[in-house]
Amino acid sequence: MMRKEVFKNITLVTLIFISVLLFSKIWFGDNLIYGDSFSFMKKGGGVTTIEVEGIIMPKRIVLTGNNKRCCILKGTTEYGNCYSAIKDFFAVAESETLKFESAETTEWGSALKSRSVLLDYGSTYSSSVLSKITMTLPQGEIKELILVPESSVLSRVSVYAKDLQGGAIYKAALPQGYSSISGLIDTYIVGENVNNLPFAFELGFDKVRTFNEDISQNTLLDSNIIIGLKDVVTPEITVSENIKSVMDDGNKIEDLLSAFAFKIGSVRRYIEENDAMVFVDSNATLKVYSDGWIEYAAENRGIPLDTSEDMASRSLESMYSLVRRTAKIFNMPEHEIQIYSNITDEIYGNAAVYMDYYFNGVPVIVDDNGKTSHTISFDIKDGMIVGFKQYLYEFSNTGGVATNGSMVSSLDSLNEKYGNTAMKISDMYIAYVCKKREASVHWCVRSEGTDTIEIID
Amino acid sequence: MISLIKKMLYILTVVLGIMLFCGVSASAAPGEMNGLPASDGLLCIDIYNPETVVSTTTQSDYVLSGVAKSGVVVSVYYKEEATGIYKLVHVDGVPAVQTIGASGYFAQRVQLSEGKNDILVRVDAGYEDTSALQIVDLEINLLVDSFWDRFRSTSQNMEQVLRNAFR
Repeated sequence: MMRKEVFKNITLVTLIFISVLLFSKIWFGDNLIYGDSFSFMKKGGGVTTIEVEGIIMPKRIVLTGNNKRCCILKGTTEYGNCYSAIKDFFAVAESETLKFESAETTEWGSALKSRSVLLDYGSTYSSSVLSKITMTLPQGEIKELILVPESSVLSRVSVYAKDLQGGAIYKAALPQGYSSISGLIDTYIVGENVNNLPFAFELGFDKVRTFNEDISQNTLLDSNIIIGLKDVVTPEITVSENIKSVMDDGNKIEDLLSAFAFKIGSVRRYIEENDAMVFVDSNATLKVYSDGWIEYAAENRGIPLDTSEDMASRSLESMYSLVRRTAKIFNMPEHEIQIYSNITDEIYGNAAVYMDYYFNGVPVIVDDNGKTSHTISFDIKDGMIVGFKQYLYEFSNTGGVATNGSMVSSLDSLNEKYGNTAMKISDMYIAYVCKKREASVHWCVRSEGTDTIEIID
Repeated sequence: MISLIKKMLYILTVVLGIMLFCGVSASAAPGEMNGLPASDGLLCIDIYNPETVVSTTTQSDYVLSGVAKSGVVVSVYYKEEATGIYKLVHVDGVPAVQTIGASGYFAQRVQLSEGKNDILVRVDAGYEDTSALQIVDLEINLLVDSFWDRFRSTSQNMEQVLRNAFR
């Protein structure tokens, strides 16, 4: 009897001890809330300067003045200081109660040709998202802003915004900031004469103007594309990845599974014929390819986006958070990243969202057996991430350079390929194209209304 | 008889040589032209910039642009005021001669002098059986910055005077 009591007591104490141990492990160890998606909640709520500013900063800043024009690309050494000065200007603008009013369509072109700063965000953003990193903007879908230091006497700066959805131009006048914007122009305009970097509308390449039936103009360019008249020289790079060494680390695998909301205890894992490491649970599949990329596909629920107030911005934060977390697990350096897709207020619903790495101020894309891919891509369905792919590449300069023909010669190559097919090009740029971890430099074009990239050989 | 045949053959060879030489020089962009050449009246190029035949600019480094038929050769000349000769433009040592590609786009930088600039755009339609020409004669007037500085300064002064008057 005595022994029974002792045995029962020992068992009870042991069970209590184990419970306390497990409880403390869960409380202080595993994350109860998924990943960093909700990190902004720890800041006390409310969205001010959102964490995703880094991926929706202007893709290029074009300064015009003193008969010169200069194009500063994201990721270059001059960009940081230049953008910092613009941020300070927007902080001042936001503190004033500015009212945007309608402006004439012709004012947009005049503003670009005058002493001005063009901020090209690369993609269209709903004003609710872009306002988070600039100033309160008029309702619409906005891709570019122009700052025009108009008058030294009145110390005034005009801000122009174009709503690409409705085509309207808006203008607001800030009664200060002239010296900072004008000083910015004087500081950074040291480069090409303005006519070495003309806009497409200045050369008439944005509209069909010929009435001659014998002269065909099959390709139209967006008005604000800068027509480079010279050959382009770009530093050459090498591409590497770090997957194998990371996947040999059990802790890293746990972190990775946790980032994608896998229940570690119930995950099955195996190696595919193509050497990909595969993790499967009842909800989703995660594959890590030795070629240098990971791919996630959800069968049922997926990874929830934060769709509390201000859904578009919160959704972007969730996505960016996953990208950063994955990059950290694989010990990747912090790449410049830029959103490629147009971001509307309904992005949390059903959308494909693409992002690109930038290196040397040049975007990096992937040629996957003839199919062009972005380095980061999301499939969103009903507020859930149901698909995700990220290339885990690292880049370094070789010291060599690649020379590509001028933009016009590249347009000739494009037209040779497509013959008389009419094309409207919304963007044209130099990019690194990675094919089986070899990077080459090519002109790329984006057609209006699509997310497709065409690589010009 | 044989010497006569030889003479005739010699003359024929010389004539053919001259014709061949003329043909070659007609289809290549010459380094200079004395006076305005005649045009065959074909429309092979549409000039977009400048928009009008006579125009004004403040940009000394100017870009001519337009669209042309694919395959034609477009060359740009400027008129030397002293001699009236049209000389082929060179930019950074490169002659302003382009063969238009499949896109049809044409863009050429030219350096303008202050005042009136007579610019000539010549098109050789080399793909035709006979060499055809289109000539576009442009006048571009360059106003230098000092003019605009004086204009801006005057208008700003007037603005300030008016503001003071209405205070």
